[in-house]
Amino acid sequence: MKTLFAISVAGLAGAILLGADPSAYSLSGPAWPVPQMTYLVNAANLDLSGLAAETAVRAGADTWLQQTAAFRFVYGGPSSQTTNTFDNVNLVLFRNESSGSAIATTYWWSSGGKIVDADVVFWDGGFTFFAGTSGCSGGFYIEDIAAHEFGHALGLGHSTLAQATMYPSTSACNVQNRSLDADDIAGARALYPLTLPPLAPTGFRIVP
Amino acid sequence: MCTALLAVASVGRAQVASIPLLARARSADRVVVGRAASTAPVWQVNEHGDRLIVSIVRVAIEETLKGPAATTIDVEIEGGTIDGLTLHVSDQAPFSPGERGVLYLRGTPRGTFVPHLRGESVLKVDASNRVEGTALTVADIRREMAAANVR
Repeated sequence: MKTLFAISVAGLAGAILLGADPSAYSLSGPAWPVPQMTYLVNAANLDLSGLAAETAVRAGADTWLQQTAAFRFVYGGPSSQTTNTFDNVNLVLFRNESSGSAIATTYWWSSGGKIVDADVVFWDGGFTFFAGTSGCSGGFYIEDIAAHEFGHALGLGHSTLAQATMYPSTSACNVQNRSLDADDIAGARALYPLTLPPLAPTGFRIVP
Repeated sequence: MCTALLAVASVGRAQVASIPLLARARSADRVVVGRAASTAPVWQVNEHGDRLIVSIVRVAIEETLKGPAATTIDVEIEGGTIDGLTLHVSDQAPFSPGERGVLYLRGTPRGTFVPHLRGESVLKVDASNRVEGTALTVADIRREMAAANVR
């Protein structure tokens, strides 16, 4: 069902395919040094109310809560910023411009193997965006596109599995990206391994 | 059949293909086959006010498929590294020195070029003249453009 429409081309950029590993995910290389990233949303767009777009972006980010790796995206509030740059502000915005067949593009910055900033641009001039699970016609649900782009912001490249959220292309009105595939989860856990909760101390006697 | 081949092949290579290669060629200012000779990352502010690292890739042209002939061309590709800070762009693959490709380009007011339709417009080519990951060859692209009189 995945067809002609692109989410993006080049998480391929610098992507490290995992050779003999049967997993199909790829890593772009760097990862966040702390287990969470806070992002802002400028939800001004051509297709939906700001609230609907913001809610949909947040739902897309929260897709990665399903992966139970040691990382989460935290919504930090609305923003009126319209530029994408290295400013330690992680921003999601909509831009009234087309970008070929790319529906959205993620820009992430790294230094010393650590991601230090990530921004997502939805190309609102080229596509019509919808939110929720119904009503889409010839466009894309923000939740599903955001889920893919936040995967890049996490540090993932593209997967070769068509059912994976990180597969590089999708079809109009697809709602499958908002549900992670096992391959997506494996990729997230490769970047942010699960850690067991610390064991309760034993053998100590508390002296009041 | 040829058109179908090109469309399918572009899916396999660039992971995107809403725009067939011939349509890309028609709307591009230039289409060249060349090898990346050098790259120079710079900070650049684009028309939206985004301050980004952009790699200016000097491409040694082997063949011009559309546009005036030249020996080299400078292509600006978003992403790169300056002073240890790296910008990764999900729809822009780096075109590193030594790599060959078919490039669909759009001119800028600066006299340089950018990938027309962004990342889907740099098709990397292997030593056997095949677009990486596909059965498509440079000859296929050349033949289709010639048949459609895109020059």
